[in-house]
Amino acid sequence: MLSESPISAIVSLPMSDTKGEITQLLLAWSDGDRAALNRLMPLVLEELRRMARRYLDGEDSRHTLQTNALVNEVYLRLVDRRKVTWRNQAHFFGFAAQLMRRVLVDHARHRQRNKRDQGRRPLSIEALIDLPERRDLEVLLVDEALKALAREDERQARIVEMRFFAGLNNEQIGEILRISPSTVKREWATARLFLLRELSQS
Amino acid sequence: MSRRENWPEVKSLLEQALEVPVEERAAWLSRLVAEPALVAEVQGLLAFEDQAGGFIDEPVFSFQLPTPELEAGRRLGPWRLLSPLGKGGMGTVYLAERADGAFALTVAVKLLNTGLGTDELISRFEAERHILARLIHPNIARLLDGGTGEDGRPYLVMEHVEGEPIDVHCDRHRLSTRARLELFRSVCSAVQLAHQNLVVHRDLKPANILVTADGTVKLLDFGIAKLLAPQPDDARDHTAPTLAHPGGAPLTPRYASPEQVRCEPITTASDVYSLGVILYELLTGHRPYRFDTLTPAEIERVVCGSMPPRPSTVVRRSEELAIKEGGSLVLPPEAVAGVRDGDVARLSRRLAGDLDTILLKSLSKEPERRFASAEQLSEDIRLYLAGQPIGSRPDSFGYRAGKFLARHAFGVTVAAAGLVLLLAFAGAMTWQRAEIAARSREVARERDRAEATKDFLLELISQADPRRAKGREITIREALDQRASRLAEETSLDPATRADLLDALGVAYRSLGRSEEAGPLLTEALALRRRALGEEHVQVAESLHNLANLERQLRHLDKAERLTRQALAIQRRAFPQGHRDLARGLNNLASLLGDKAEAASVAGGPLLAEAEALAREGLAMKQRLFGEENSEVAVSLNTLAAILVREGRTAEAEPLLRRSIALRQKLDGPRSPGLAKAINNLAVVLAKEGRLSEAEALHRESLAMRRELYRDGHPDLLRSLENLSDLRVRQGDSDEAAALSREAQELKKRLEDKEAR
Repeated sequence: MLSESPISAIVSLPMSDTKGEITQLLLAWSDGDRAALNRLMPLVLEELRRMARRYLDGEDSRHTLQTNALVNEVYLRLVDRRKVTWRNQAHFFGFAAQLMRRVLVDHARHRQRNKRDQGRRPLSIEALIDLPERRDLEVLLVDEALKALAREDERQARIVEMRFFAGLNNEQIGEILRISPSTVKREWATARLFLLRELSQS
Repeated sequence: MSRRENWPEVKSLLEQALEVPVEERAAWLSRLVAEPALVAEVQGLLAFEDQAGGFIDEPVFSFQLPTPELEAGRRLGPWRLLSPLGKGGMGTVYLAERADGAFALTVAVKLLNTGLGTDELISRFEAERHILARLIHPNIARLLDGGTGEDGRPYLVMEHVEGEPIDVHCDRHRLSTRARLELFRSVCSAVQLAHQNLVVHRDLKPANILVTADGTVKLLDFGIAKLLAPQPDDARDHTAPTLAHPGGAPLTPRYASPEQVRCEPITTASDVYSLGVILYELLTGHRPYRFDTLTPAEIERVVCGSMPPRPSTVVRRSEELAIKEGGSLVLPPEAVAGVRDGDVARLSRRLAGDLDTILLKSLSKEPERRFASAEQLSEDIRLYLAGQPIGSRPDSFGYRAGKFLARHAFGVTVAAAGLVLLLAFAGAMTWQRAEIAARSREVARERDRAEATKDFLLELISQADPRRAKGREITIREALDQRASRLAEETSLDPATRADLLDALGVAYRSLGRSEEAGPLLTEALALRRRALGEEHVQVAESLHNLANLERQLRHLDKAERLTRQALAIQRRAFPQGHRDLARGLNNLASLLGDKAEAASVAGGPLLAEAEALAREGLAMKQRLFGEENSEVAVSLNTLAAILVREGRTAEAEPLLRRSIALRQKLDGPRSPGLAKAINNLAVVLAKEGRLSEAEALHRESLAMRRELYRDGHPDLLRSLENLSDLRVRQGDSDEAAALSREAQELKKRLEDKEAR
């Protein structure tokens, strides 16, 4: 998974609820504990789904609700802001980029399948995603090619992930990875060529 | 698929190849000394560039990270954030107001980038800010309030100061050495008060020393100062060992003392040192130190190991300024002296002796050899200004143990509370030792970026304006272009700073005759200022004037007049007692109306009457503000003379022009754009009176000067050629007249091409 330099220190945290657990896992992850991410992901996904259900069942049925707003709200709800410093917040979005990648890939895959089944979409986070169908294939292909890039250069793959799946800009990515925005830009340029070659050969 | 080479190697070559322009890549690749397989793979990857356009450029999803704009509207305690004023490494500064309407007050709120995290740290922060809130001095921006937001981020509420950095202020107003010293003394007095309260500023620099429109000095950011007083019952010991440096790494290397650079304990003597650096720059326009790189080792080597050049000597040299884009600019000594005491020799003479001594003493490596306090530094300046013998001795070894001890008892090692606060501010809470230092330096660089940009531009402009750069304009056009394109990409600037930069760039382009580039920049600056500062702000007036000057250059005289009148109305309301900017505004309108009258030719009479009245009002105001011997006065004399000539009152104009020429020679030396113009004007007057041979000599003198000044062409040079050509026709030398006219035609065409480009 990720190799990450330690960023901010952990102060003692309550372990009483999910919120505390997520906060602590997030801190542990940003402190370099790779295993924390694997435990974190299902918890956050579950929380996302729960919230999505609530929104979709809600009386105003805001089907057009922006996923942005949702994820930002998840962040506010999940993470105890008094305990998590600003740099962790930047980190959260690094984490969330991976999360969104999974969500988007699942969503694209699901829709491709459903085209054949004509089945009803489940009430889930995926239902909230406002992603044009024409991009489904792009999402799936990039996801595959990124796996190949990650085997060669994990950091480069993360840069693409953050930009393509989370829309972060060079400055924000630089902040999260603690490299300069110009480095991000250079890495992006070569990563694109790598991915294109990968796609042309698959 | 063939075997793939090692990706890091491929990537590194690929990066280099992408830097090479497409058409040169094949040649570049063929010259590469590398494994053929490697080169082949790079070549293969480059082939995908054609298909790359648009590929994954559009994200499938975008987060909205909290941005300064989103924070606006947020409430912190009784305060409501209005708009971001600026962003730095420590956090973002917002304009804010009382949300509860208890009283009308706008303040600056600094929202820090970090959460302090623990209750203990928050309580220390509280203790610290209460002490800082007691610093009450007319020259210190007050800390009014502070607290912690619901997300754990601390914030400070400070008096909102509108002003410009002291160095910018001094240069823009072309303050003399004496005026600079007087202004600097109020800085000393504010620092002294803080020191008496055991607060060290620790990050003194021009950007933290603002001068308001009415000329008041205000020191900002005492918020990061640390307390010097030893704390009995020091319960903070357990945090101390995790902190790398007792003093913390310097926030701004350019103004940091040797002990700061070495991360040794910081005392009031460090502030005195920083004051020395600031004064050195204010008086000489040079930096006492030159860093080749910004690595800690290089900074330490330079600050601790090299002696700053003697101020009276350094002003005779050019100052080389590094530009962000690489390369450097050369600021000639005349440009430095031009905004100070006029000419280089005079500035050097003024600095030699006492001021050399005072500056070098402030910059002593050993704290104990500097002035014992900001007050003593100020006192020596006072003695110098009063013409009395100063207290300091040149190269004195007046190191006295008693003095040292006395000061040392005062300058105890920094209290841990202050240190913790500092580190929290720096955005580094509990990183490992090396990281704290590294991060602090990074923070410092980020913070300096905006200031540097502004500094850089002002320096650039002093070059770009041929009146100051003595005709060296051409070398900097590229620098300007680069700067302009970079500004377009900088999205994080606050509107006011952005407007300043746009305005400065626009003016610089205009003075290079590049109105195509200048127009949009100046227009945007005006719009931004109106929005950010309000219709009535003096900077809005400044923008209107700048735009008017451009329109005038393009011969859109009606438009220029409308803009100038708007600007002048604002200035008249803003400066009921008179002001340099108002005087300049009056002169602008006078001169513009003169042009209009000439263009109208028939009904120019009333226009000229108004122009004359305005010019006289402006001239009188300048004489009252600056005395007789001032380049501003010379400008006004010229304007008035030109109007009188158009009214046909050449006899009255002649003495004014001769006074203006004498002033120019005295202030700017034997060759300057202003002098060339004044001589040209006198020649025109004499020609009108039929004194053709006198006029010819003067035209030749002005033309020769302009040829020297504007080697790459300039509208003024064109005018000289045409004038002399016309005169030669009247004198009957049609050969020379024709040759001059041909040259003028060629130049005109070249200038138009340049304009079109």
